[in-house]
Amino acid sequence: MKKNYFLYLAILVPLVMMSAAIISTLFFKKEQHSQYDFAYAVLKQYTKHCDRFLDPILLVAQWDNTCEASFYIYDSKRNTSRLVTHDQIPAHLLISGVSPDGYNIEVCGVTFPEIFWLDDKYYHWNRCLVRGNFQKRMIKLQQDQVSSSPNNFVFLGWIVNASQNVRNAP
Amino acid sequence: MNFNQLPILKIFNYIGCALIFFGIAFFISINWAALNDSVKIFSTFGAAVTAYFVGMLLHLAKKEAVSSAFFMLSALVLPIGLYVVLDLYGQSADALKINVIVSAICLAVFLSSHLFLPRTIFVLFVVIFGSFFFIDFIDFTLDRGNILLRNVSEYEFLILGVSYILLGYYIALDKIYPLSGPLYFFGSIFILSSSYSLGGLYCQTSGISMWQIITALLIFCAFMLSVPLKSKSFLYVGAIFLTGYLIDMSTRFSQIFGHYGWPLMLVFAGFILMLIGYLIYYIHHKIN
Repeated sequence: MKKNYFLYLAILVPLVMMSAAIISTLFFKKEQHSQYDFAYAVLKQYTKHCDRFLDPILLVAQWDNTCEASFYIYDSKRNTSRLVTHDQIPAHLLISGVSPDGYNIEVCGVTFPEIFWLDDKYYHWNRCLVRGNFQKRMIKLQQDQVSSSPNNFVFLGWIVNASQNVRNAP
Repeated sequence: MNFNQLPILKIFNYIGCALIFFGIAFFISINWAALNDSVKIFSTFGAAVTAYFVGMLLHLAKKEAVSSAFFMLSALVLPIGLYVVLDLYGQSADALKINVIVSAICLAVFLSSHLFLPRTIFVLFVVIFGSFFFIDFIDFTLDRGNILLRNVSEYEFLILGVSYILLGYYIALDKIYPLSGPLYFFGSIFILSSSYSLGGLYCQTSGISMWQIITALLIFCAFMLSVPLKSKSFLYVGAIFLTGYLIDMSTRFSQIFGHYGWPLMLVFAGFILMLIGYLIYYIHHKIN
């Protein structure tokens, strides 16, 4: 009978971790959003040539129209992305890296066991808003955006100071 | 010797099983675009179900060696079959949810098989699919929340390693299934590699310093446990990690002694390897 304790423990130890995962998900939910909107681009096909132009200065001055890309402004309060043209992005207001209120955009991809004949619709390279131990999934790249590559998403920068004006642009 | 217990028979059965598995896999992968949905399902999920029932019939006919090969074939093809079914008919394309469903179904099939027909092969697949279910379930659950937990996979493998060792000890006491050796081996690898990773790989510069100390203690425990548990897995895995750990630590010589550091490190590593060799020899004698 005593030896059965080892079997119960072997089952119990993983169950405790599974319960901890459930508890942390159910009871520690918190909602946060950055005060700042941000701009990003999704390239149809990643090339170094096109990636070079996704610099705030080159974006406005020398954007190469042969590069197929969609530009978006993410409304942080409404959690929505709005399609814009490259010249609607306020390049002079963009700051890269961490937002002034401490948020960062990170890859939070979901990978699928690679079974070699299944297509790549299960490969997502989502983007998450991260600050400290808070993480919120925001952008799920769609299959038609060639989501199998993490490089297709290009973060352009946080829009500082004039977020209202940009949000209301036509 | 019983015909069913001939080692050569088992080897040929498992090789045959592997060849059938690769045959099915290559047939499907080469012709995937040309196959219609029903052929895709019958050649994967159908093959798994058929192999399972053939294995069951052979088991009931007392052909245990060959039935194990069919159960193994079923276990290899069943997850692929389920992924194909869910890929074709699943409404949701949520990868994590599909992983949980597939591993839960596989676990349920082999756990119920073990409860009705206790066999080593079922215990093996219960452990394998149980481990997949544990990892998939935690990943799925944490993905639903918005708390960012770092190093989750390291902790998952750490817990799995502890569970494997406890299960291995239970099986060693029970002496019914010959699985305690593999469980100790993978358990010790999971625990030591997780703690090593938490402590920071590559010269231990980027990890959590508490885990660097814990790793050293765990390596020491691996050596200590190898004697009472009579496990060579603990001994050899402990020796590999001890060598890596000390070489990793000795790279600090280059920081302290500048360009003399590397020759000193080589001398130190040489002595350490000799010492570890003698330590293994000594403990090996104690185990035997």
